[in-house]
Amino acid sequence: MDFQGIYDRLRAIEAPGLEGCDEPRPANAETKDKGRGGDPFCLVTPALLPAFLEVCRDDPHLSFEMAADMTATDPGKDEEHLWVNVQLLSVSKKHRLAVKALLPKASPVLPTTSGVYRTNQWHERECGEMFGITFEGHPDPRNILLPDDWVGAPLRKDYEFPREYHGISCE
Amino acid sequence: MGSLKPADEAMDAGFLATRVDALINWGRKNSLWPMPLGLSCCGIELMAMIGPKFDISRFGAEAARFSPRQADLLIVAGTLTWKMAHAARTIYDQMPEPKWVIAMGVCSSSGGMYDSYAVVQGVDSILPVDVYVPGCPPRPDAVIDAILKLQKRIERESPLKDILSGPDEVDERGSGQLTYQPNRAVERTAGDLHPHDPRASREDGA
Ligand code: SF4
Repeated sequence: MDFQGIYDRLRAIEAPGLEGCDEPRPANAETKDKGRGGDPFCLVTPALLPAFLEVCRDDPHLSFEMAADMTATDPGKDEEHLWVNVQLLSVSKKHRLAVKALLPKASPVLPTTSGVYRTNQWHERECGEMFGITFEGHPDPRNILLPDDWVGAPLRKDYEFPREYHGISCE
Repeated sequence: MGSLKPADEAMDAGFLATRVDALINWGRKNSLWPMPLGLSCCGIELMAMIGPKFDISRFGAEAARFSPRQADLLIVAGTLTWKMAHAARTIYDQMPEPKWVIAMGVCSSSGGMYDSYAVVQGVDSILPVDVYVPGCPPRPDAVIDAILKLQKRIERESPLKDILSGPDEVDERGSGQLTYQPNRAVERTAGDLHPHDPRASREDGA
């Protein structure tokens, strides 16, 4: 299935939390608009993300067996939301889907999706330490790349480099 | 044959007269046993240096030891992250005196292109470095040159004086401060936490 087919199917089964979709814009030479490349994606309510993924996994026409990746993006200092991006892959149906949830920076809390796709445990740990997102119900929310006592979320756009670490100057 | 001078007599009997300093330095400089701390890409170049093509054994430094207790030359080859810093310092502390450090590549010399939150901006903030080798990565010849320079330096040392007068001031940079323990929860009050730290919002009850 292509994106439109997947999207229509999601609408037909009334997938929980589905807010809409976004197609990439074609480039416009006249206005120097480079377009927004990348995959078209489904926009999902953050709180319903696990339920949405569960439907994607279990629906016989979609059968996304695999969560290929889960990341977050900080689109800019002035933006009020973080993006949480999930890439789904169906090995049997040979199609893909990009899912996006907008998470307010003020309270970046998301229910864990590791109950649906177990691989997301590690991806969520990485998102947690790099963007300061709290995944509620995560079985093991320790840091995965940073030291356990690291302060701050380094991939946030407004992150400031630490001045010192364990008494040693970082400058 | 009664015309031999006393020193020649001794030589004839299998003795060689020299200074103790010179003897010790000769031994030390020609048997530098490196501890390779290959942290990233520079480690590959380090392997080439030890291998037969560049053959560091011509200069007596081919006995790479993977135990710091048997090594006297720490070669930091690669990008040192803050998470690894405590391990590097522990390795250095475990090496017996006398010991020397080579910072191989720009990463370990100054952080290099990684001007990043995760990377130590030069291992000299936690270790006393003797020779810096520029390059990304430096060619094996450059590191061999560093070892030759270090040998020249060792030649000028006066170990006997050090032994008799006690050791020089030990470089304490970083020692005792790198207390990071993996998997140990660190006690912090809410005020210490960065506003983005998930633990901060938990303590606020949010
Ligand atoms: S100096 Fe260059 S080659 Fe060496 S570790 Fe750094 S990036 Fe890699």
